Amino acid sequence: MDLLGEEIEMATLQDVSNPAPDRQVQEEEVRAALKETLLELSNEERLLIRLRFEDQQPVREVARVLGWSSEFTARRRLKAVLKKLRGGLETRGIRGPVS
Amino acid sequence: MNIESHNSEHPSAEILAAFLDQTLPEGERDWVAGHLDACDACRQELSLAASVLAEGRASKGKWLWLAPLAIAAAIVTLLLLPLDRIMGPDGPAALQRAERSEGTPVFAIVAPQQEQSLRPAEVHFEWRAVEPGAHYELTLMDHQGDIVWSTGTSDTLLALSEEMILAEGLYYWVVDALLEGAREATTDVHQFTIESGD
Repeated sequence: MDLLGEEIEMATLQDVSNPAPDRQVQEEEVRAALKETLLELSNEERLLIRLRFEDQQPVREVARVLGWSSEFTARRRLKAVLKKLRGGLETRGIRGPVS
Repeated sequence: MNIESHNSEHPSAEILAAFLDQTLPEGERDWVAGHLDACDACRQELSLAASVLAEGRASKGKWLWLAPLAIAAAIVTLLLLPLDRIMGPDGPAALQRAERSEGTPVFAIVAPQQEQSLRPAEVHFEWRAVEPGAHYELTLMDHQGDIVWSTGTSDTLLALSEEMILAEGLYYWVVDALLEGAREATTDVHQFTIESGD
């Protein structure tokens, strides 16, 4: 993963969770896969994803809220969780444009 | 995201403080994390307390001025935290302590050695193998903690690509190992300095 790995990963996830109208048929399938994959994460991992991508908190703030002493830790955890999410989606046949 | 939660009780201020301080038992931390994932109000409360706490840490010895600035929930949370948590220095040493306290096994690096100075062309990374079949993720950060390079390998030796020349300055690096059975291990965060290539 390169320097923008986190953003690329998220772009991938956003892409599969927000398909264009002509891909509407796939939408339910994608959403179901995403929900299943999220449920496979630990509570802390889901909280991490929610803080960063739903609440749109900066990584530094995410680290603070989770009681981690450093932004380093948050970045590394995010990377690992996004990798896990992508793996879960791919297992279910969902692939984004960035591999 | 629409993860349902059946947590009806909100965690107390004491429990939120312990969550921030990483002192909750694993099962209880998991419960609190699940509640926070589902409860906007508690997330906001914790976020506010964490922000005030961070400002307090930045002020170092002047932590008492926090009180007038904090709203009730944040104050309650803050007062429950140990003083060294408020005043403790941040940085790689703190990160190392945090990593260790999370219970992740630590393995050793070989090169660059801690605080070593080297020229850009001399940079390569090497660490001790954890166990056969391990996958490693190396993260290289600049002096501000921004990730400048991150890559995975099954080897224990990595060189920078030819196109990547590190500028003069201080860098931090850490390797995470992903092991069979979803186990993990990590190195301490080490630092090295790139000196002028002239």
